[in-house]
Order: sequence, then structure tokens, then C-alpha cells
Amino acid sequence: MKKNDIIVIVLVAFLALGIGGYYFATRTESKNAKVVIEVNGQLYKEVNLYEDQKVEIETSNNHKNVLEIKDGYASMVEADCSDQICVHQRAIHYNGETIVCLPHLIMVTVQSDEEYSVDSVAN
Amino acid sequence: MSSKKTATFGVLVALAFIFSYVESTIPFNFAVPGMKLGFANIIVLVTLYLLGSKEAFVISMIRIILVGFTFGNLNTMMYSLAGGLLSFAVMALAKRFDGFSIWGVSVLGAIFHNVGQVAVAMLVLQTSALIGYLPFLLVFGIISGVVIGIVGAELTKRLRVILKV
Repeated sequence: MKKNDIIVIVLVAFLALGIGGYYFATRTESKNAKVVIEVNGQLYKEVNLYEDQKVEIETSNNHKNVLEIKDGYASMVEADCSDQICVHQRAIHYNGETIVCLPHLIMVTVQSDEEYSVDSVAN
Repeated sequence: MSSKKTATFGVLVALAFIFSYVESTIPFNFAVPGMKLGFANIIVLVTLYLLGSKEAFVISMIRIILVGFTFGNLNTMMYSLAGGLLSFAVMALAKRFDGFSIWGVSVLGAIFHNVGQVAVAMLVLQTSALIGYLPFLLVFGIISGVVIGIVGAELTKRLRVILKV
């Protein structure tokens, strides 16, 4: 092992720590967060993060995913794809967190409704 | 191309292919998409050190195309290709730069493989949200890169004697 190897490892570790720490420190949760489901870049459905339910997502090429929303956390519980990566992703809760299903081009994001309330106050 | 070289190439492609298969049979799902153990990278790494960058590039590309058609589809192949190309380019450059040992080259390769895949996913999904996965992928890249570096170093040492290259 050479000195440069160590330098690269330490630098990358700090970079990871920095990005991770930044995300952890700046993450926010909001009482009226919504779950935005997009398929192929198009808005599919928006649901409340605090209304327990199961959402079936059907894509145009006959694929199906099931998103479960429970106790303020959203997770993918079913997907008829081969890799099942989205099913294994952890539940999302904080603003900006995402679950992606690459084979079906599905993206689920938690978004706060705060922008809208600011707008309504301004109006 | 000498017959010895042809045979060596065949063995290396077969090994890379089998390593990819073994990796695909291990249920390895952490919370983050794009995490790979990167067994097949052992072969690319060893080829890079034993034969050279041109040869390593060929092995890497043949492996991705073979594995893509056998176990995946064009979609998964696109991600492998992005990861594979970026990782290869970085490893070849790092080796030429001569400041790194096989460990460092392996770590850089693992990290950029993950970065390449996430970058393509971000392009496909038109989102920057996936950057949140990067810390996990970087840390995991270090760990798998070091492990593969150790295995790669041992293999290179032994294969150099056996293959007399």
C-alpha cells in the first residue's frame, strides 16, 4: 500500500462523511408532507404521507408496483421487476427522500407542502 | 495474436463471466441501489496489471455485453456500461500515474463504478435526489475496493508465475 492509496481513501471517506452529514443535518420533516409518485418523469399521483394506505402504481407497459404508506413512512412493498431493489430500499419519511424503481422508471419522493402555505400567505 | 494470448483471454473472459454470475446469485440488497460487491472487477484489475490497459478494456466490455445479454437486459446493460467504462478509465489512469498500488487503483475503480451508475440513473430519472445515496456508495466503494484490491494483488502475483507474463 502506498501513501497515495491512503490519501484517496481518507479523502473519499471525508467526502462521504461531509455529504452524509450535510444531508443528516439539513433534513426536515413536515406535518403536512405529501408523497409524490412520478412515472417516466410524469406526475402519477400525490398522496398524504400521514394517511395510511396502499397505492397501486401501474405503468404504461403493464408493470405494477405497490407503495405502502404507514405511520408517516412510505415504502415499496411490491414490484414485478427482476431486481427488487426498490422493495429493499428503506422507508422514506423526511422531505426530499426518494425511492426509485429504475426498471419501471418510477420515482417516489417525500415533499413538504410548506412552499404552498408560504404562497397562500403571500396571496 | 499468439495462441497463448488467445487462450489467456478466453480464460479471463470466462472467469469474469462466472464471477458476475456468482455475484448475481448472492442476495445482496442493502438500502441503497447501485451497491455491488464487484467480484468481476477482480478480473479487470488483474488483467490491467498482468496484460495491460487495452486488454483490460476488452475483457471489461466483453464481460458487460455477455452478462447483459445473459442475465440482464439492455436497460441493466446501460448501467453496467456506464459504471464499467468510468471505472475502467479511472483505473487505467490511476495505474499509469504510478502513485497508487493495486489497492488504490481498486478502490478508485469501485468508487467510480458506483458513481457512474448513479450518474446514469440521475440522467434517466432527471433528478438530483439520488445524490443522497452517494455517501453510502462511496463508503461501500472503499470497503469493496480494498477487499478486491487484496484479492487482486494475490491473484496477480500467482498468475504472473503460472502464465509467465
